Formats: sequence, C-alpha cells, structure tokens
Amino acid sequence: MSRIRDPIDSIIAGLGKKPDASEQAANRAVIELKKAWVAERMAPTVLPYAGDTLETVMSQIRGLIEFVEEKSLLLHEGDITSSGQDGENIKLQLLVVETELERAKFVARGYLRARLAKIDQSAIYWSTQTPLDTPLSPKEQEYLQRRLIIKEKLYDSSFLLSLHSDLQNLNDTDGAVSMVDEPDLDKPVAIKVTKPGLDPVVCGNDTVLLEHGGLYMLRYSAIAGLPVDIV
Amino acid sequence: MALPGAYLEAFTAEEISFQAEDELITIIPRRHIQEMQLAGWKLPALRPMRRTDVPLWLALLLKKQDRCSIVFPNWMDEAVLKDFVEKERVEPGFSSLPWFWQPQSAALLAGASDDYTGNLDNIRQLLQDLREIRQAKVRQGITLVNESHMQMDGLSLMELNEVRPLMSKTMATLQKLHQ
Amino acid sequence: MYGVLADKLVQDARRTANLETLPLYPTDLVRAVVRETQDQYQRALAYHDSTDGLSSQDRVAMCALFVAQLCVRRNKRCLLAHENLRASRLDQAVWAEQELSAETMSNLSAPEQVYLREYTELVSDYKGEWTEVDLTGSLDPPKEIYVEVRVLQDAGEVQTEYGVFNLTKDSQFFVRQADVQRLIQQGFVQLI
Repeated sequence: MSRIRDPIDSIIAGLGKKPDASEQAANRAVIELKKAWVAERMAPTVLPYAGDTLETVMSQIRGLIEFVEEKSLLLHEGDITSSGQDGENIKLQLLVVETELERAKFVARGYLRARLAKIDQSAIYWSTQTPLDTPLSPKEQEYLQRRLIIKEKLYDSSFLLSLHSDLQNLNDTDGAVSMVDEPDLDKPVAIKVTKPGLDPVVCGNDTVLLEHGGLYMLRYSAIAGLPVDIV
Repeated sequence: MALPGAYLEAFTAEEISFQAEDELITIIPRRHIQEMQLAGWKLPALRPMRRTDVPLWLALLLKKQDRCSIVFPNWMDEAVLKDFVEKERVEPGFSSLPWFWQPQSAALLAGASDDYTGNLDNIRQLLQDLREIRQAKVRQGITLVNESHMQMDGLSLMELNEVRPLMSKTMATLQKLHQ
Repeated sequence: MYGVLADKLVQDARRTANLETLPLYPTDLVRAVVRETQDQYQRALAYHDSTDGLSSQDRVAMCALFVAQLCVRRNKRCLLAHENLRASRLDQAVWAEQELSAETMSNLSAPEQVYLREYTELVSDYKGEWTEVDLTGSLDPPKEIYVEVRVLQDAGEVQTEYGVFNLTKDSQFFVRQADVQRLIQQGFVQLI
C-alpha cells in the first residue's frame, strides 16, 4: 500500500469537476428502503407497506444477481485467469457489485423481518383489522392467518381443549387485562424533522413545536402519519 | 418472533455503522475504473486524480484494493475538531457534529489513516474528548426527561441509540404515573 | 391454596427464559393447573346458580364467585404465558435455522413438536416468496464479501452458489467468504 501522498494529486484533483454520481447514489430506492427499515424497526406499530420501493429494490437485486452469476462464470471457467488484467477488472467489479448486492439484501431482509416481528407480537390484533385498514401486505396477511392457526392449535392441544368450552377463547378482552396485545402507540420514538413548516403537535399536556432540523423523542401517537423521519 | 426482542428497542452498533456507510465521501482514484451498474445508480468511470463522491462503503472497499485515496471530511481537521471540543465544553447544547460522526470517523481511521494529513494521535484524542464531554451531557440530560417529549438537537444517532432504551422506559413510566 | 400451581408454572417460565435450551415440558404441572382451573370453573358456575335470583345480600357467595372467576382467569393466563414463552423459543430457533438437538426435541411436548414442524414450514414458505433476499440470513450487516484464500490441504471439489472449486494444495482463490467459512474453520484454507 502506498503511504506517500502526492501533494500535487490533490491540487490537480481540485481542478476536476465532480461527476453527478453523488446525487444518483443518494436518491435511490435502496436508500428509501433503508429509511423504511429504520422507521419500521423503531415504530411500535406496523407502518404502511412500502411495496413499490421494495419491488424496485427487488428488481435491482435480481439484476445484480444476474451480473454476478455471469461474471463469476467467466472467472471460474478458466477463460480468464484471475491474476491477469481482465481478471483483475472482473474481480473488482464482483467485489463492488456483490457488496452492493449484500447491502441491499440486508436492508430488504431487515425490513421484512421487522414487520413480521411486530405482526407476531400482536397477531390477534392484526387479524382483527379490516382489509382497508390493515398495513399488512397480502403475503403478510397470509402468513398471519397461517400463524394464528398453528399457534391456536398448539394452545388447543396443549390445554385449552381440556378446559370448559367457555374458557377456550384466545381473544378474551373482558376482565382486568385484555388478552389481545395491541401495539403500544404511546411508546416513545425518536424523530428527525426534515421538512420545514410542520404544525405543532399535542403530546400529553404539552404542545411541541417541530422545528426544522430538530431531533425529538416523543410518543409515537403524536407524530403518526406525519412526514418526519423516525430514526 | 421473527427478530430477537432487543432489535425492536434499539439498533446494534454494527447496524449504525452500516447506515453510516451510505454517507457520501470524496475519493481521489489512483487508477482507472470502469463504469459500473449498481442498484439503481451508475458508478461513473473513475479517472485517476479526479475527485468523485461515493458512498463510504465503496470508498473503503476501493481504498483496500489500493485504487483510491480518501479525502477526510472537513470536520475531522484537527483545528475544526478543537473548535468543536471547545464549544462542547462551554455551550449547554450539543454541537452539531454529523449524524454519523462516530462510526464515520472510526471507519476512516481504521481503513484510511494513511490518507490523513494531520496528526492521528491528536485527532484520536480530540474525538475521545468529544465523546466524553457529550456523554456527560447526555447523562445530565436524562434527568430532564419529562413524560411527553424531549428535544435533543445535535445528538448523533449512535449517542441517541445508546440512551434510547433507558429514555424510552423512563418516559413510558412517567406517562403511566401521570395517567 | 389456589394459584400456587400456576405460580409454579410462572416460575418454570421464568427459569426457561434464562436457560440456553428448552427444559423438559412440565406435563404433570400443566395437567394439575388445568384440573384446578376446571374445578374452580365448576365452583364458579355453582355459585353463579346459587346467587341467581338472590339479592346482593348474599355477599359471601358473591365474593366466592368473584374469587373463583379470578382464579380461573389467572390460571388460564399463566398457562398461555408459559406456552407462549416456550413457543417463542421455538420461533427463534426456526428463524436462526438452528437444528434442535435430540435432547431438546425430547423435551418438547407432542403439540410443541407439531408446532415446530408447522412453523418451520410456514417460515420456509414465506421465505420462498423472497428467495433473492434469504430471509433467514444473517442479521449482522454484511462485512467483507470476497476474500483471497490459499489452500493448505487438498479438500476436493467445493460446490458454491456460483460454481465449483477444486481445492488443491497451495492454489489460491478469490472467493466469497461465506462459501469458505467452514473450510477456514476446518483449516483447509487460509485467508491471505
């Protein structure tokens, strides 16, 4: 590795213009999905499904996988030695593309699993949502239905069926404590205000001004649906 | 559950570093690199000496392959960091360091320290000072939490994430007491 | 005393939460709690019948009814919580693609074994909807993907996602770290 830094490097470099890659790189679907992943991880409830963004990322992922398969074949069929110039180029491309690929896969995986985790947590509650109200995707709804059935079967055959038929419900809401776990919408979340001109929100007895650029921790219910970034 | 429970309370340190790696940073390519199609964007052909902004992960990867050097961000200049430390000492709020200042500086110092023009020991010490002063402020700040909200401008994601579970629990408890 | 058995169940759940692997399913305890719950419920029904039509003067009976109902409800919650905790441990194993040891398997009740099989199937089906992403893949962010390795001893052919390698001693390869992780641990290849 070269440890000497040529001062002329930086002078010449300063003369060059920056290509517009930076803007492209910053405004892409993977970055959008990463935001959705972050918000999904920290919000107490399942957020509206970012289906379009996810689809875009999935098709990009498929494109990258194809590229990797093609190039790997070239490298391993022996037509190109991995030490030659072409081999070096392919190796570098593979390195970059596969890193990007793994990063995109990680975000998509994290996004989908965070949603499933919250669906699992309040399964009965989510099953009571109407198709119009539910933030769950069709695939998630199917998962939820099957999950409820097998879980119910577990409780039934473990002990519920041995109890009086009046006691076999899983969704008792009477009595002191409801058995249906609902998302805790008052759970505090951290948000960043990335847009100017938002109205103040009411939070308990206080009114909170959402200053542009501000970082707040407040109950989720106060900012649900607002164009702020959950971080 | 599809995720360990702790994952719904805070991020892991690795996940925050991961997020930081999408931040753009300037590189100076050493060799020509072909244009590449990536996920939804094209990395243009990189030409030697021509500065280009790329995501941090890519900069570190190319650096490891000895394909570029990395231009350290301004805020990591020794003089700038010194200012930050001074301000951090006297002002009550948090100085506005980048959202990812810790993972970003850690990654750069681990992977590209030979590209740093100043004194490495000095900035490591300054970064450490910043961390300590700010941590003390965070600890003080927690005593000011009320049940409805808390404003924490200038706190970075890593710092927020460290106190998030405690703050969240404290606020929830205060909420319950209030009801 | 009522509720003591259910307490034991809660203690068992608490202990389970701190154990590495699932302990033996407490069949007898669960059965005993079920029996007590049934008894209490019958009693509650009886009180209910006897207080029917009476004015609230019969406070003793009302009170007994109330206690019996509370006891029933509490027992049921304890049963559910206990099973729920064990099931969530099974869920974890499914998502981590962790094969349970024969011993742990034998610690499961019959319904739990069925549940484990069915949930594994469900996750695998859902995973199948997102094959490119590998949903049960690592929760740790990706690090170095490709590495250069040297082969230390002949290891024969290795099948990877993108082709076959013939690992002969002293050869060098540029490979995905995930593909050779096991070979590195076994000492067949070494990172350069």
